[in-house]
Amino acid sequence: MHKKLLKFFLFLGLHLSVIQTFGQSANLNGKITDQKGSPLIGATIRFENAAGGAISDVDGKFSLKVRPGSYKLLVTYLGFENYTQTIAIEDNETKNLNIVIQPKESTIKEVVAVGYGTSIKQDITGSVASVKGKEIAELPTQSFETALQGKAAGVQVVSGSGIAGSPSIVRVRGVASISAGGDPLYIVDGVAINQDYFSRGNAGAMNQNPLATINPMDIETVDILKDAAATAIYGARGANGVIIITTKKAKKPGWNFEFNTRVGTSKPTVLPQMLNNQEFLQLYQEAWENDGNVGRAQLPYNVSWEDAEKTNTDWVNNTVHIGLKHMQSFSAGYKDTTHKWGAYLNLTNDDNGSYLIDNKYVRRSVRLNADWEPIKDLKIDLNSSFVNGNNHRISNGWNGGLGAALSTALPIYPITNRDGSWSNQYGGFGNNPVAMRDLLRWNTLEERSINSLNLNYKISDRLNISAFYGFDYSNLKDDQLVTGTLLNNTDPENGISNRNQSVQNTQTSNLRLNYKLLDLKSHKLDVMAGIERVYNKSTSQFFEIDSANKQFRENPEYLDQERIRKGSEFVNYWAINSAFTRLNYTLNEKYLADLTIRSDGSSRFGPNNRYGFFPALGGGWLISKEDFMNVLPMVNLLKLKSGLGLTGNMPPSENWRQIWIGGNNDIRYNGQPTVYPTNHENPNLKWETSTIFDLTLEAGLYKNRITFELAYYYKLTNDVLVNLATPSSTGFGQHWVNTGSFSNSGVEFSFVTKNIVKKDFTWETQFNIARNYNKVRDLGIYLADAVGGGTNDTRVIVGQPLGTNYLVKYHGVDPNSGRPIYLDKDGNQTNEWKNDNRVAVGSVLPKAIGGLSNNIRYKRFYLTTNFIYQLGGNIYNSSGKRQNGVVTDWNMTTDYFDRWQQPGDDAKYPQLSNQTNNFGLPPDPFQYNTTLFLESATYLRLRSVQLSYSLPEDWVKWARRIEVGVSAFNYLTFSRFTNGDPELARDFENIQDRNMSSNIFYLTPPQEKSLLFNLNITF
Amino acid sequence: MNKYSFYIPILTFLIFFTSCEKSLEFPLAGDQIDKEIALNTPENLIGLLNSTYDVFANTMNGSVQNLNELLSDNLSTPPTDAGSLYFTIYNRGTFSFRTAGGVLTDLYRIIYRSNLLIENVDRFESLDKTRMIAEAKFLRGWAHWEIAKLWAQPYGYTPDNSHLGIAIKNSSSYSVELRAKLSEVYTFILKDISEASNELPDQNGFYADKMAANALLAKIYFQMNDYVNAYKFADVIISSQKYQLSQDYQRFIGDQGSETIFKTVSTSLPDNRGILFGANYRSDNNPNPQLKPSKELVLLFDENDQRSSWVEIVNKDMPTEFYVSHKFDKDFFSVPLLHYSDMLLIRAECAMRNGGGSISGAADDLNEILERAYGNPDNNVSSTTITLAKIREERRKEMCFEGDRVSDLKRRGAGGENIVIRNAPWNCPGMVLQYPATENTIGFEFNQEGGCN
Repeated sequence: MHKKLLKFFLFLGLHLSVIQTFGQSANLNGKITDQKGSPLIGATIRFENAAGGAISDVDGKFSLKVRPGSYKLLVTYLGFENYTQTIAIEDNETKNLNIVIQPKESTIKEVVAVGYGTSIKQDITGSVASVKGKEIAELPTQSFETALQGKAAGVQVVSGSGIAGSPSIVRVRGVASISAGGDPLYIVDGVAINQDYFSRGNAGAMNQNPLATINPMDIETVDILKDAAATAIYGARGANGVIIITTKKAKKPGWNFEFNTRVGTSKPTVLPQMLNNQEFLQLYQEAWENDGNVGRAQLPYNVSWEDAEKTNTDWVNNTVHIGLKHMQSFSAGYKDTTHKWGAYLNLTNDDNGSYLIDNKYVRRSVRLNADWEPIKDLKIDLNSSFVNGNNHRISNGWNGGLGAALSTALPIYPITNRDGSWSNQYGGFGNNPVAMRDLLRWNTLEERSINSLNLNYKISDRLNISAFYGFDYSNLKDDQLVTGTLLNNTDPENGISNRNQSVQNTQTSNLRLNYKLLDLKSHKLDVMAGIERVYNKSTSQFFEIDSANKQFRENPEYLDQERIRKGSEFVNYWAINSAFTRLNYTLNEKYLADLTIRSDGSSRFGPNNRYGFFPALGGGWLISKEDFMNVLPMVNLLKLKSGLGLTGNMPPSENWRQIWIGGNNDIRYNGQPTVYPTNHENPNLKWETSTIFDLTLEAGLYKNRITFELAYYYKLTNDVLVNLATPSSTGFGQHWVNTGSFSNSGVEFSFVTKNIVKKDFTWETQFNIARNYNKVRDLGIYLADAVGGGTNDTRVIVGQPLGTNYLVKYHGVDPNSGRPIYLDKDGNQTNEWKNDNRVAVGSVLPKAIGGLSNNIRYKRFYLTTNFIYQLGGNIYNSSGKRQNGVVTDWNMTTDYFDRWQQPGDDAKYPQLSNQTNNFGLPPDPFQYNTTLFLESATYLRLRSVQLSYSLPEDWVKWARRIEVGVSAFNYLTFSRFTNGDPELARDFENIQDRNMSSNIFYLTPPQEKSLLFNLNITF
Repeated sequence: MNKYSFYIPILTFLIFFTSCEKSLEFPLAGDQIDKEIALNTPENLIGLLNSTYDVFANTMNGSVQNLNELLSDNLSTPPTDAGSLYFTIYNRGTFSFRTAGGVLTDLYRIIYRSNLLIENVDRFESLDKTRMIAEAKFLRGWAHWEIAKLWAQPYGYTPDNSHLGIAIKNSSSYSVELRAKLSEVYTFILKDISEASNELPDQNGFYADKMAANALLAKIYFQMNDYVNAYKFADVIISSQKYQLSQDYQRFIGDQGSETIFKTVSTSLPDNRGILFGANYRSDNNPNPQLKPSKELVLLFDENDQRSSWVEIVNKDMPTEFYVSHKFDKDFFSVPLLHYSDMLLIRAECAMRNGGGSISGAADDLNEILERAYGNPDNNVSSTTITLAKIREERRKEMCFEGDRVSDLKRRGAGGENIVIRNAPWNCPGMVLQYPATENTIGFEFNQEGGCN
């Protein structure tokens, strides 16, 4: 039926607008729209009792000349219910019809990406969640993954901090790794992209965001593969889930244009209250006197009391402002009416100013997606993007900026001296973030191009062959100009310019066969098989030049000058060779079975374990198709599915390899060459293996007015990759091993209800909640301190969740002495902090996460609200222990007023002191953590609220649709965390830190809240 | 067309898998080489031995010596920066993080490279296998000894030395070792150094030779309060007449000629193997060095003693009075680790403790040191005026800031004397360094927490 319709459509589509029929004397005009009022192009209009017909044009309109009489009109459109109407028309009469047709609810077949192909959602046995591009483009996020938060059950997205361009943390069904990546695998149009968060380490207290160079406006859909039945096709890279991004293509025949723009502001969601000069002097003096000193306290860097009392610098206000954002996106699509070719072009400029002064991320992107059928049965698809991301950087967190304002920049230090020069006599420019911002000029530029070409040839009705080539190129240049002033040179122009450049090139090529082995009425068996090679080359190099007054990007001639210093070029390669197959069997369209097998050989696996094997089996039962379900007519879909399989996770590099430094190196002893190894080898090093079981019930009630999904999963990860902090006796500090195991299990529940479906009023609610239990089951011979994260505050401990906080319990303040009381292992009170009294408390991972969104349409108004929430889990306020602990040269928060002052005081904090031993702490106090700074991470946040209005079409003739709107982002948060934003993604030192210590707060800039105005025009 | 197309993927499969293994192997770039290439030429093995000396020199560049000195009574409190490692060690508190773990790893890296060399040196006939193994054992044994001195209670802490020693490593394989008894550790060290003494050549340039191994044996036996053996080996050195005291008392920054038995070599300013002495003590270019002498030590030097120039009182008689050292005031210098003056002092003390020789011999040995220090024999001792206390005072002055003092105090404590160091007994928990928390594997015992307070 569809095929016939398509042929009919193709034939008639050549003449889109009007078809004349026979000797006429009356006019029948009409417009065909969907329930939302959008015109439907290419709908077929014909008469059941007469010849003749038409195809609706780009505005959904048609026009027919007919003889007078009575006609049975039939309107058909793919995916919509057939529409019939009887019309009587008289001679010379002109009839205008407005026809609204309804989509086929029960037969809507949602298509999802499944890895190396797509599938009808109803037919798959794996667990896949989908998010539409529209939902992503609507949110004013800097990077698309942020918009996934709260949209899919079991997918935790913690947005990056308020720094422009900072990365989010994405976790699918918990964390399954210690030292290997915990992030899902990202596939863009078939290309597994580079995912290096640490190409610039932790410079400026920010990691790189490899996803920032994907333009959210380009995204058609995002499919999230969660269980083994879905991810095993990605073998050794599938264990953390797979996120498949499909970009937009030209769909509708003819030209289609779209213009989007938004403009708005950025402000911090919350800022801690720091002390002003008087308050600081008061508390500092109090500590001085408590320590037995007399007279006025000796202030940090010998600031005189006279100056200190006169100087009151509000450093926070000097590092933040109201940031501005604006985005313009234009796209053009053209689909040839014969469907032989189509092209989609998008140009976007997205200028994302953060609330941090002089900090913004500007992304300019171009995309061209094209499809072409040059000869019969051969289809060529091209997806190509080029993005230029320019991050205007400033120091942050531990590195300065707002971080300095919250720590070592004291209110008693001035910004400038009396002569107008920058003040740097109080601990250097590091304690003057305003000067630092001016004197360190910093940009990180990334040029990124993700491309793919797919050739598909239909050999026969049953057999298809596809050849695919993709490449992902990125060139990151991190340019800094350290001005002469910052170097304390007399000539401010006499600075040092440096560049850290890293180039990544990943190529993916594969060949796939799709074969319908059985295509009978009751049995269907599809086979897909393929081979693939992924090859990556990455290089990095450092350049530096003296006597410079410009950045390298501003003066590329520096690169040719003789006086330039070049570091060694580091070159790294890795590759994966794979073979894979997937069998899908369907019996009577009710019983489903999938078998997936992948074998991966990787240069990242040690020579003794070079190949991994990853099978998975999935089964499904469409209960609603059984006859006995007729007794429950309200159930239109009931499906039970289950999967069991193995997936893997690769070491992040060729960590098995022992690398030696040969005799040509610069290190000499006694003038003679040296040759030496830099690590221990581990030829047995291999992938982590996750065994994943999944059981899911899907249901649709009352013609899908209510749909819900309930899932249970259990994931056991063995041979966990750990970059151990090894015992010193091994001669090295770190060593890669596969040791131990841990489990993630959980329950996910989500529902969508269409509460009201009326012509002028619709209301839809989406809700999801996911509970994850994470437990370390074994760690071999290694104990708690073998794997550390954060500032020494998280650990991996058998029996506890991954990345638990490992702290001494803080009981309170001794009301008589004002000293802190800790608890020993047995719960006895003690005044001394001891290593042995550390216990596992608090969890990096929340107990439950989820989201609630409501979409309401009333006539031409649309209102969308998105709530996100996190229940349980903890935040460790690692900067709090410096702000409100031993009194040092850090500023304190006003929370510290609640301190013990005299016997009998019931206070939160102990007596002020700058003596470590008064806190019962060892000499190096900041390595020692207590539960005083462990806080609840539970929060509920109104992530976004959007109100838009679609202008009546007759207002502007040239446009098909104009929508204006306003959105507020992060404007409402309920949380008990006092010192910052509870939605926490700080900067990390390495992958392990990112897995284990996502709950450590250390001068982390809070998220931004923004208010934006949007305009969307399609024409 | 269709028929043939079907074979394309099959053919590709075949080509793909036959070339699979090679396509997963990549070369290393730049200075980096693979293990098999590294161990494939005799030159590279010579380079490996040289790199072992390189790490040794970088570990004994003041790094190890300063940690020792901080535990002694020769220094005043280092700057009280809350995060300072020196401050932490000086205060003998409980600590497990931000420890001297880097130094510990470096010392074990010397051992790792020595083991690698011992295991691979017989790949090539052309190499002087005997000498190279002996050198590796010399470095391996010495590194174990330095670890034992800092991370374990000393020899004699328990009567049979069954107390916790350190992890012994005699293989390059990756394995996590538990701490052996201290008696086992000393047995291992003595075996390595004795074998080195037997096999090392008489002359070996700047590298370890027979006399270096003998001098080291003298020091180890002395640390064990084994006066007979200590005397014997010190006597071998002194009697060999290969060495004599230099005219110049400035053993580090002055003439290093005749007195040095073994040193690590600095060839230029960027190649300064005494860098952590200079960086921490130097006061000619730094008004406020990290490490400063204690008042008690400074007052030991009388003004006629030329060595009094090693210390200076700043802001004398003012409330802000403090002390600095000038012993290392030079841009770069080689580090004499085994030297003749130490042998004289060992032999003198051993003679006093019936280890051999005579009291008058002891007086002669001590007088060599005194005459050089004072530039005349006016302060010499005789067989009737010499005392153990005098020898020890000279040892303390002569070898101040070289990391010797705390070992000497512990040795005497273990020998039964009542030794108190800055108000704490010589054998309290804080007198040994705590292991870094990362040593924490099943069965590994840490040093006792609680410092010395």
